[in-house]
Amino acid sequence: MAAHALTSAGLRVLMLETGRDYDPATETPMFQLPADAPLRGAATPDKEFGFYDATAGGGWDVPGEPYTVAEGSQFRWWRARMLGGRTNHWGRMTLRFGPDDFRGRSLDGLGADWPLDYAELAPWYDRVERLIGVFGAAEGIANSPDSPDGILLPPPRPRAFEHWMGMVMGRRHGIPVVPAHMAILTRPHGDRPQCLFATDCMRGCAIGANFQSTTVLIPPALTTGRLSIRTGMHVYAVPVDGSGRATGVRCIDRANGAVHEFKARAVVLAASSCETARILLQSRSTAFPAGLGNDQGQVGHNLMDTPSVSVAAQVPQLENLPPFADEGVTLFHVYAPWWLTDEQRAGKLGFARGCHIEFWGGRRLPEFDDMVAIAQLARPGRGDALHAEMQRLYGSLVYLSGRGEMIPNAGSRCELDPDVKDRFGLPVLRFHWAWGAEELAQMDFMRRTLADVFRDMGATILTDLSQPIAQVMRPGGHVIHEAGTVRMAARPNDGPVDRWGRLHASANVYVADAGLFPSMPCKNPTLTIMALAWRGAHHLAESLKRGDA
Amino acid sequence: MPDRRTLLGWTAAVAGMLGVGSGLRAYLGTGATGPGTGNAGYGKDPALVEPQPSSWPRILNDRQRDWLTSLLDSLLPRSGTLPSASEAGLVAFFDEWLSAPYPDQLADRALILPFLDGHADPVAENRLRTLALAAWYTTPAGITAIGFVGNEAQPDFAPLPIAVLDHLERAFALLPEKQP
Ligand SMILES: Cc1cc2nc3c(=O)[nH]c(=O)nc-3n(C[C@H](O)[C@H](O)[C@H](O)COP(=O)(O)OP(=O)(O)OC[C@H]3O[C@@H](n4cnc5c(N)ncnc54)[C@H](O)[C@@H]3O)c2cc1C
Ligand code: SF4
Repeated sequence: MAAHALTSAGLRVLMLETGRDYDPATETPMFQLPADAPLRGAATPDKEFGFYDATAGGGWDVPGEPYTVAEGSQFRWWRARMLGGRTNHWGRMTLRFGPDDFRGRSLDGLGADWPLDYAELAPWYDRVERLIGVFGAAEGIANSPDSPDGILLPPPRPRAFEHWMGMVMGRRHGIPVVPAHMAILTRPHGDRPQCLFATDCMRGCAIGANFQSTTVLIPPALTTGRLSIRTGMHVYAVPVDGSGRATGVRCIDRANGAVHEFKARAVVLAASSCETARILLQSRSTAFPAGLGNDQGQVGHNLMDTPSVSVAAQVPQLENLPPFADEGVTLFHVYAPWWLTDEQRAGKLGFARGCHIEFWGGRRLPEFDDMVAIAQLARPGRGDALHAEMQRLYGSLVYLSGRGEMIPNAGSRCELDPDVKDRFGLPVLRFHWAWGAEELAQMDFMRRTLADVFRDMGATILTDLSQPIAQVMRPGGHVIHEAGTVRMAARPNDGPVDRWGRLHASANVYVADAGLFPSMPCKNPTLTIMALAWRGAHHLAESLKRGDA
Repeated sequence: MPDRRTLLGWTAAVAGMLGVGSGLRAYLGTGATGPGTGNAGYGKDPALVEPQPSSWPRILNDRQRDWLTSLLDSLLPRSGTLPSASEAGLVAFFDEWLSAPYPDQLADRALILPFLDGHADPVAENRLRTLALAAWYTTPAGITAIGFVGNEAQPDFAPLPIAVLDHLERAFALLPEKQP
């Protein structure tokens, strides 16, 4: 995003990417079938989200580039090694943070406020949504902002299982199920065509109908003639001059191990929260012995992820539907935004922050793992009886996932491991992780709510609900929303970065990823990453023009 | 009640797709392929548009393949236009699956090979049935037979068929009075 904004502001940009070049137009398996793939496309340790998933060179493990987890902690870190990073295969859920999300501490005394408010970020949300194309609707829901008229594309109708869940949740439980906001084109947008309403978005989109930075941001930035991209360049440090200003970056060429130093007037770090923190911590100098921007020892602290709990069930009402096309955009058409803001403010819930619900299921292209699940539910039999069982069960499994908000805590952070080095000889990150009481209370509530919804419709719950909530909550990092490691703050002792995303310690170093977030609300992070990146890049461009960056 | 493998299969797969992780399928990756297995998998960056057939050596012998063929075809015989399990390529699928160097497949190998060698084992038999169904329903014939319509570009996303809406409204009307 920053490269797009800076090149369109007339600046020349060198983008250094540790992964390989990646071209969605030629590399996306759009219509390939499970039967065309090894092991029917089932997930393996090489391709942890399935064979066709658009993650190259990474996943929970990147060969030769490990990370460590402190004793007693559990954390996992998903990385890709490709141009465009994880935007090639993200879930495309594109929600704005709401006004309360920027002033949580003022409202309930927990966590940190942002050094900016919703009104200040709103025009940048508008710009990003206009540029990338987002479908959704205006619902007037508290703290889930609507976009100004004319920005959002029309949402697709709910898929059959979403329609059913919406009927039951809305009419019997008072849980609103509304159109999701998704970075997928339901209408042509600029020179990009609309979605084909078929083919799995998590494989990427060869026609550019969803948002990936490789289809939406990088091509126009390249056509300005001001963007150069070097792939296979692993950045590890930002050197500074005697006055503490960055002089450029140092990196290692993956192909031959050669060390390069590139000079620049300014540096933007957007390697994802944890890697950006790592680069800063590795940038030790006489001026910054503890790492660039780390005078207060804050870099790597306040690490957050999204707490989540899921309940899966077999829903009898969805059995034996007549065959019809119901793939849609293949990801969420609906979601349930946080619906209890008033009750929460009145102190009735026992936890302070909101959650939303995501939906999964339906009559998708039969994937191996989905078929394994229904095969396990099929009653004994053979031949035609068994076929009838499979046809009955197909499309009747529903998976609801509650997504909450974590309050940053001292036990969740990353730092350089004193002992372990990666293939480049660089210190790896060591993670510490602890969920707090707020997250446990919130997820306990969500689990009960989701189970109630399924019980009420007579569904067979497939998730073991007997475990204590702390045991079923996933380790940190699992939702892949890491944030907060270099948070923005008005004053340097509250966070390493200022309200523009610029290091307090070094006026020409900016951060443009979720490391910036002082809080990580239940809304997914990527839209806010892009809004902040664009706003920060604009600030940088203006500063460079004035000569004061 | 469904058994625990239901959780292992579906919720883990979905959790992965959604980036919510599962905690059930612990793919931490160390030692999954390479040393100890004598084989390599397809790696972290395989060609996706034209997938290559997996390269690990196949381990089933003729006797095991014959026995597998008769087991599978008695489970899923040819029926009308629907191919039998062996006609649908399931023997080759099992040979690939049971020979693969990944943890799930190695576990299946340890479970199912003795069964193919004649040791009765209901757990192995059940797992074989599950894998066979999943393999059959991911063939082109199976995808159609299960009632899937799609994987073809649509000009727009058509409204829900009236029959489906009616079905769901009727089902809703049948729900018992909600317990407070
Ligand atoms: C399965 C899945 C589903 C998701 N669903 C959603 C969703 O629905 N909504 C949402 O908002 N978010 C979602 N996310 C999260 C989303 O992908 C991230 O928020 C987003 O990609 C973060 O963008 P980023 O640029 O900060 O990091 P990345 O996308 O990780 O990009 C960082 C880039 O920097 C490169 N890099 C890293 N280290 C170095 C280095 N040392 N030197 C040079 N280059 C380096 C990387 O290779 C990568 O290209 C999902 C993620 C996953 C994995
Ligand atoms: S569902 Fe639509 S946007 Fe997603 S990959 Fe397919 S065509 Fe592209």
